Amino acid sequence: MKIVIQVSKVIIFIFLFSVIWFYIDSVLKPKFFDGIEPLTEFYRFPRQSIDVAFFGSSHMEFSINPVIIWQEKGIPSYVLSGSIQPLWNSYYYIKECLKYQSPKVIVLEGFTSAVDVELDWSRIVKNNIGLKMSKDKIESIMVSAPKINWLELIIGLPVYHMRYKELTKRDFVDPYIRGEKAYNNGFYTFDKIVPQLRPDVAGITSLRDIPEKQFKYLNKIIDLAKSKNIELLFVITPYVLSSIEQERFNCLHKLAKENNIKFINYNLLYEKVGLDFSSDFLDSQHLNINGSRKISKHLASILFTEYRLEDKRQNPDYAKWNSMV
Amino acid sequence: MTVEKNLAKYALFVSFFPQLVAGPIERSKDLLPQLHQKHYFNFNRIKDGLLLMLWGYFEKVVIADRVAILVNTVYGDWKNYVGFQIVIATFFFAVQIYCDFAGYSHIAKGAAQVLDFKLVDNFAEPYLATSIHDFWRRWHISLSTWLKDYVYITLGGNRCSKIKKYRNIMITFLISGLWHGANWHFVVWGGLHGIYNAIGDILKPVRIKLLKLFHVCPESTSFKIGKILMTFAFVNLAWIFFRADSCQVAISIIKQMFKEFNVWIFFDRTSLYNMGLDEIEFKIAAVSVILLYISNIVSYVKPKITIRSMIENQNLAFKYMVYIIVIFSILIFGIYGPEYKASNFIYFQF
Repeated sequence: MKIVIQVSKVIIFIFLFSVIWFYIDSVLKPKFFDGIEPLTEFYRFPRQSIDVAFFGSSHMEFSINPVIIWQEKGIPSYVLSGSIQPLWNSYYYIKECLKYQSPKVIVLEGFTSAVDVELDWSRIVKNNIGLKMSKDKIESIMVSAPKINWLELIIGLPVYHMRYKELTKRDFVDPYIRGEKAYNNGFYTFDKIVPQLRPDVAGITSLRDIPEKQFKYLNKIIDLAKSKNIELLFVITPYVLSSIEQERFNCLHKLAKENNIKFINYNLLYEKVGLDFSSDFLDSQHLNINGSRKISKHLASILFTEYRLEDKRQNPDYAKWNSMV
Repeated sequence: MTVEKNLAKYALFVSFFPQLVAGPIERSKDLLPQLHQKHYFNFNRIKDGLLLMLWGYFEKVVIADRVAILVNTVYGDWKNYVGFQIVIATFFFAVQIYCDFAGYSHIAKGAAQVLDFKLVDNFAEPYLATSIHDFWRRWHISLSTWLKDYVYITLGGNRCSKIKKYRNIMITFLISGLWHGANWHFVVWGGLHGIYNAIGDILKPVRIKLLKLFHVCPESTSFKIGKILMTFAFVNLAWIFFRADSCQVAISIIKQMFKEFNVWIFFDRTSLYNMGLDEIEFKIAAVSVILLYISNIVSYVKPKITIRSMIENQNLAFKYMVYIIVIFSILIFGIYGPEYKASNFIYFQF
């Protein structure tokens, strides 16, 4: 009898401890708009409801507006990007996405295939901490962070417990419970306008190898998509890029061709989409709301015509999507 | 003490993990017999051991590592700090070294208790000592008793002339200083404690006469508090030599301390928060130190009762509330994780 009482006490304590742990963890967890919050929102999204999933760096987050894509062609979609999301994190975000959704097309933004990713700590956090606990999350952390930080990232609280000094009402009051949405299916933008100098990379045809780790995960993403019978589309969004980056995008294009994957480099389509460098950018890397509208419209058209996706605007199951816009 | 002929048991005694790295320094007569005893699962003993470990972690990661930020800021840039800023930093260093070392000792003792082993107490409210002699009966007890038995008594202890007794005290404390590091500022720190002890002993008859002359009751609480504060001040003065990088720096820091009577730093609402800890961190440090003192005072007033046993006597809901508050205080307010690479326990180097 004594043992039963002691075991019961331990169980009650562990239960109480766990409840408080999860509450405190949710309060202290950073509410970054890139990487973490879109994922939080994604987990609450109706299951098996999207046809297109977008992955990649902040370039994707600021360029593709699922609201425009819905308005234009009635295609339900979601952007799961993160700040300089490396391709290994894209890979695990795709795996995570496929646990909840069955997209027909995965659109991968390729900026990080062109850069030597040496992530700072905050970006390692942003690209991992939002994932729900699973074997994939642990693997994602292990390929992203130095070994010394693995356990801290897996537990989470050691990474962000110091946030007690910066807590606001938003950390305590869940906006989703109030029925509010912080983001439009992972899309985030500003209406700020900062004119940019238009790069000219059309003449660059030489190839430059994609860094080894990025190349490895590109192939893993290709294999994953093939194994799940999902169409892949590689996209490079418009930005002020260097010739070295363009050479690597050429290499990415070659890889896409070899695997029968469509490749769109919007840095070669400025005229076609009507991009205006005096009004469509918020900085050298990101489009503003004007620019994202143009890219989203163009991509919606490609998705609709080339991937034969269904227009779901009249589908009663998607009535909420109409109110979203 | 009988000779241990079992190599495995002897190896276990030497490498007993809870106290291996930073003590307490266990005597063979205390620990070896325990290796021959049978050990049993006991829920309450294990729980008490875990609670002791929890308190040790609180001392280390919430208090010691937090006040260390202020101490390192001021001692690392001492030329830019004066008066009470040095006083606060030195007081915080006293807290830091105590919480760092006592925290480790509590974790070690708690871990051993979970395994049904009993380690000696290494600290007994040292900052409530009423004399330097008393301080050394309460500070790093396992080292001070070891030095007493193997150095002081071996040299002749106090069973010799007064001069030789003071010589023995000085040698013992100088060795204590050297034990902490091969550096002159540690030797001076040990030497200062030797001098405190010798002078305390020399002046004892004078003190007794003065107390009689002024009709002061040595057992009165106010007199005891005065003695505690005086002792603490002398201990702090010696800590400056312990913490400073060299004797010259320690002397310069003491000069800086008397350079300005800047009492306004306690009232102007900004100065206190410009010494490495911002306002929130400073307040957390202050509250934690108050908690530490409350715990020490309770143990000092009622030596046979621990705060843990007092909590244990409460109802289940209250007990769980206390445990959860302490655990989450450590998890939230502790100085650890990638933002703060947790500093090692100070005594690991000694």
